[in-house]
Amino acid sequence: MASRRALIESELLLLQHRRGRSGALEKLVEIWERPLYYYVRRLVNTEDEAKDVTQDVWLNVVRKIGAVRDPAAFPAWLYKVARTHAVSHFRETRPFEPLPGNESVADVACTNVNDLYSTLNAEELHWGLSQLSPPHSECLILHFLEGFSVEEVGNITGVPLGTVKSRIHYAKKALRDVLKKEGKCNEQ
Amino acid sequence: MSNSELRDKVLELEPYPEDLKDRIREKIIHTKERPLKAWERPFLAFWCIPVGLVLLGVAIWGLTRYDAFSQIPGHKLVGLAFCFLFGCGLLVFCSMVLKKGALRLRSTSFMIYAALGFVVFWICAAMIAGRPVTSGDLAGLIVVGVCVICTRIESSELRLRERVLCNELALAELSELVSRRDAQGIRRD
Repeated sequence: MASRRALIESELLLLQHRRGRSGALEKLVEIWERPLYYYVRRLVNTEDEAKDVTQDVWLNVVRKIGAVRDPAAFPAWLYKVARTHAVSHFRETRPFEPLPGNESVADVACTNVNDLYSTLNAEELHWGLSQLSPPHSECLILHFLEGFSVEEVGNITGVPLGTVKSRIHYAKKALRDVLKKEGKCNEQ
Repeated sequence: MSNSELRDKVLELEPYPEDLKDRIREKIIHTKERPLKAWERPFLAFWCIPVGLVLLGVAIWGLTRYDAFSQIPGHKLVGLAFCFLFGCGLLVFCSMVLKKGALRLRSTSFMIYAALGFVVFWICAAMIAGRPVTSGDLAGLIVVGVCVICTRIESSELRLRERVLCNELALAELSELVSRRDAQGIRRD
């Protein structure tokens, strides 16, 4: 998950930006541009699309950053903006395709964060995430990689809590399946 | 490996396009609205609005009422043209000072300082004109005064929060250093 230092630093930079300190916004972008691009890249098909969406997201963030009331909630707000842009991009480019991720809702208990990490290394996780469907990889990135709570993931993705839990559960299962198929993961 | 280390390693596996980095920075420079600095808020609010009003009022009075001007034929037309140009000039000046300043004008504290300036100007004008200061004027002054105090408290809270975050950041950096040292197996005697 995002380090505690990064979270504190982004909250501090947002406050400093509000107080008119120059360069605070640039530093804020520097902290979040890479994770945000990673997230967007999992939601869209090509690298060029990811670049365009990421650029639009940052433009929007810069314009609307004054609307963030609670500086501590900046990361969740940023990812929400990114998701909204990715979804609108999807609608613009593929107007007749249904949005991915409308599977049935099952209230499945969300599993522990650390048990996913304990079984995988970075390469496996990266490869596995690229094999999953956007809603599944999105939930795993937000919950396990970025450390957002289930409620925050629900808020970012705009789906009910039960659906988030179910997606996380099935995403983990799907991740294990794809890794097992490739022989990259021990059976757990 | 800690969760944040794993995250960093995973992120490194996705190459980040350098051209995107440059594009984002370039766009930000052209888009961002610089928020008001602490000293700019009262300064701009106080000077741009009430002082502008005073100058405009003096210009209107001088050009329409003052005897020397009233002798000029068509003085009202000249006065109106002057006021129009003066108003436009004031607007241009304000918009130049507040370049890309939509955010600043939306700022609550900016509006509160402007309101304080206006009430003070109103009361001073009443006293100069010999009109008694009414209870309504005083009530307005009190309300705006309370709002200004609240704004100052909010601003102090922000400053305090900033200091707390600076301390927390230093602690987080320290704990990162300690955990890195521990991971390398270096132990202090």
